[in-house]
Amino acid sequence: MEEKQIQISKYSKYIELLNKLLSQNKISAWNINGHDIERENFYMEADYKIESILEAKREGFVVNLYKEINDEIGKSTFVSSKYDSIEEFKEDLNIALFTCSQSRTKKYKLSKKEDKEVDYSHIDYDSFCSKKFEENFKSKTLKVFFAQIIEILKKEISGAQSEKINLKVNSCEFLNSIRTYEHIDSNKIDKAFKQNSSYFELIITAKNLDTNKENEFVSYEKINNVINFDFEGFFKNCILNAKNSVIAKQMKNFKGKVILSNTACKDFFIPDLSLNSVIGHCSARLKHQGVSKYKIGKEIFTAKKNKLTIYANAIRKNNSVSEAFDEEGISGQRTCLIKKNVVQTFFANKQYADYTKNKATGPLGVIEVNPGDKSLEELNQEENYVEIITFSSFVPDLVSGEFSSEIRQGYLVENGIRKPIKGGLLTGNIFKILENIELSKEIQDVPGYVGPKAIKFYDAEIVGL
Amino acid sequence: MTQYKFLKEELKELNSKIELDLYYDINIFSSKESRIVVDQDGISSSNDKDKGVKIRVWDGEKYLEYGQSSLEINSIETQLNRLLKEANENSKLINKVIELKYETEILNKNYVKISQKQDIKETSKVLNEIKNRIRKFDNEVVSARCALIEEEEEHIFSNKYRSLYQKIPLKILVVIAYVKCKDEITRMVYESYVANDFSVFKKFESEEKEFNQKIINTKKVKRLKGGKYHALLSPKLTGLLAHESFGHGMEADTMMKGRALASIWSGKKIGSDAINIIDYPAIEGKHGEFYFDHDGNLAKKTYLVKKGVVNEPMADLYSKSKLNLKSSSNARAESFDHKLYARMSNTYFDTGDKTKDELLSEIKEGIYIIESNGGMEDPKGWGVQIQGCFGQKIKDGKLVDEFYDGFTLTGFLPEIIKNISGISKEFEIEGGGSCGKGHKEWVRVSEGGPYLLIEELILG
Repeated sequence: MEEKQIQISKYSKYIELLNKLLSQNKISAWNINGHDIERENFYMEADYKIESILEAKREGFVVNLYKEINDEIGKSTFVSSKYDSIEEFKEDLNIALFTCSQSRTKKYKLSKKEDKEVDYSHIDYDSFCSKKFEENFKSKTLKVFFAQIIEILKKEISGAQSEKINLKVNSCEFLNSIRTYEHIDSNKIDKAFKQNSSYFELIITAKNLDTNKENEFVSYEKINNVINFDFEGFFKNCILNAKNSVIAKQMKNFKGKVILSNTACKDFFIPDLSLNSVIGHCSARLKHQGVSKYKIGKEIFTAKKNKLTIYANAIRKNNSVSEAFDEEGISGQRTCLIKKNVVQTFFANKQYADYTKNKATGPLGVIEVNPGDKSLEELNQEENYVEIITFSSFVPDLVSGEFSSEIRQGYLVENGIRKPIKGGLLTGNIFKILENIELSKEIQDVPGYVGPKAIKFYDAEIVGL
Repeated sequence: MTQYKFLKEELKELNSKIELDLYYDINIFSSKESRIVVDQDGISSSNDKDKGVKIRVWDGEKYLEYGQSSLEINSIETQLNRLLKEANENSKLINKVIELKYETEILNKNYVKISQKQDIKETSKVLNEIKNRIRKFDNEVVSARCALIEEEEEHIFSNKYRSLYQKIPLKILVVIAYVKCKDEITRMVYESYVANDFSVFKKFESEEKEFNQKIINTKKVKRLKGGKYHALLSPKLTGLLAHESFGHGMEADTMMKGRALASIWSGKKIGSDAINIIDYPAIEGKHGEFYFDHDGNLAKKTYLVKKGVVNEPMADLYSKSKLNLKSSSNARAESFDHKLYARMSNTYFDTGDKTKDELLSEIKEGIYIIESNGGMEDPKGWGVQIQGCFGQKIKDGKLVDEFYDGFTLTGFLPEIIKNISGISKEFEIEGGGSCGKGHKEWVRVSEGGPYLLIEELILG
């Protein structure tokens, strides 16, 4: 509570000015979305040498102004880092007022405190922030923690050296932040939440001493809580993949069963730079624009085996992608988008929810995919298949669903014999390839994704080199 | 300008007060971005501002860095003194000091470009007209959107030797059409136009026919059968090859970490004498434009490949010092709260001596690769991955009415460069995109070059 009061007072002089505009009928509504980010980052280069330690404090906020004019709404958004004077804020506010009077979109209902979509009873200030992590962060002991992790890494690397393969750590980055967000608006909604977030990147080179062939393996993980993270397991996996990279054979043309496991499976459902089309087409905006092919109550496609059930959960505890509200104050929710391949609803902000006559769903948050009923072992009980561990970069076309992504690391299983491979392109269309799949019952719980550890495509195609 | 001119002077004064003999620098970041978007629902607009200071002090073996949003000089002075004190304490315990090879020539320079202004009403009207023309151009265009993004970056670099200020305005016009294709799949047709001023609208007008033709072509797309092709690359694809496939491997910090295959190619022949690949920030109106970098180096041309030989890498101060390299102007950070790395700016292949039509006439059967939605670097393996490509069939030296999309260009970079058999005189640098280092650290860049004729290119 004490912390929240400090937050409110921070914006009070801006709120005063915004309320004045409201009382003068110059605007119909306003909101402020504040964000404070504290960072503590460590950068290590080859030979375990620290190259840089970076601390930072970013303070800023987003202001939205709305003006209802007959059957239209004028909206203006301005984003700024901390103002060093109130005059700077006034200057930006004047520009925003003018912009607001010039912009026009089709009218939609602005959010009200009494709306069901603005219910915060299920969200606490601390829901998405690990106390243990925060303690370490605030007391500046992450530096010590990082040193301990590096000792584990050294031990693992040293234990994995062999006469045939030499391993070297090229670089490691350990980036941490505590973020505080606050939403305040003219409906007197005032809510704040904290989030912690960590990113760990490790690059290892393996050299085959027989062939002198060298290759690197890049691993990066967004981590919900580094304090509980299994670094030893992560390092072992990185080392295995680095070693495989120098003995891997180039992938040839292949048609048949392909399993995506761990990172590849996660990247398939939540690609780094885009949404997976199967989820993207649940966007009310795309629906309103006539781009989404989905209809509520209709199947997305006819499945031959497992059907998909997908939730967008913005309020999943202990997940660093969870969010308490969107910028219009719509509270985070758990929304079922697709149930057994049937579209349940579209995810939407207030504007597009109104246009498509749906409910506003708030922030997207964590994508939860229901697991299947077969174990990883059962999925792998095949004589001939390909398992993909990581892609170079999985970037499907959001609208068409087409993709063609290079395999960075994987295995080819021929007559039950498993051999490392790399290269080649898994190619196809998301909607088509998902028609014939099975999902593992084991799940992974990582930032932004909670779902099967593996997905098995029955009709997949790899274009080899 | 006034606020930053004043701040630049305050920083100069602060520098004169520092007595400790430790290397440090101060970077002031300020960026503004205003965006007007017009689509079927009307006009929306936003204005983004970001500013902050990044202070770095070298303690003899590592940087201690601090970033904050506040630009108050007293606060900057307090943080600088705190870091200097800590670095000074550290330096007493360091056995093996790494000497940074920083520039000591005294410089005081300003690079200022005036941002052209236009009333939002006028801009919205023009955007709306473009959107309507695209929407009505073809019945299969289900939705269209236009946006004008006006960027303005101000930057101060300050240390004991240098006091530099730059202001760069850029305008990007983005035009998007969603088109329903023959196979019932909706695809996006996208184009962006970049300039320092409102000439972006004129650029679009002069290329509107090409954009409309793209809509017609997109409706006909098929899947390409994977294999090796004789191919002609458009300047956009040539640029991606220069940037994603080659450029990332020539970043000296990546080399320093033993992560770049380019290290063992240094000084070796990789292609014909006609091949030159260059990175140069000071190109007006291009998205990677700047006049000094975040290490305070003035913009210069860096020849990554010169006459077919792998030449000099792009460096930041630390990698330059460790690898004993020449200065380049490639040190960049995403913002004040990010680390600085060796990064590209405007990266391109230099021109050749043939025309596009002459190159085309050399292909009996092949593909003209027109654009793509991006690529991924692989500095250690020098593997090429440029995905989401859009292309057109070539038969008997002519473009025919057959189009393909969603395919990927892949292969081993030295093989691809070796297989370049023709370079055009025509040359373009385009794009309003950003580049990440791996999957993060975004900076604005552009890329381009001439048309390239390449044999045995792997497409899938």
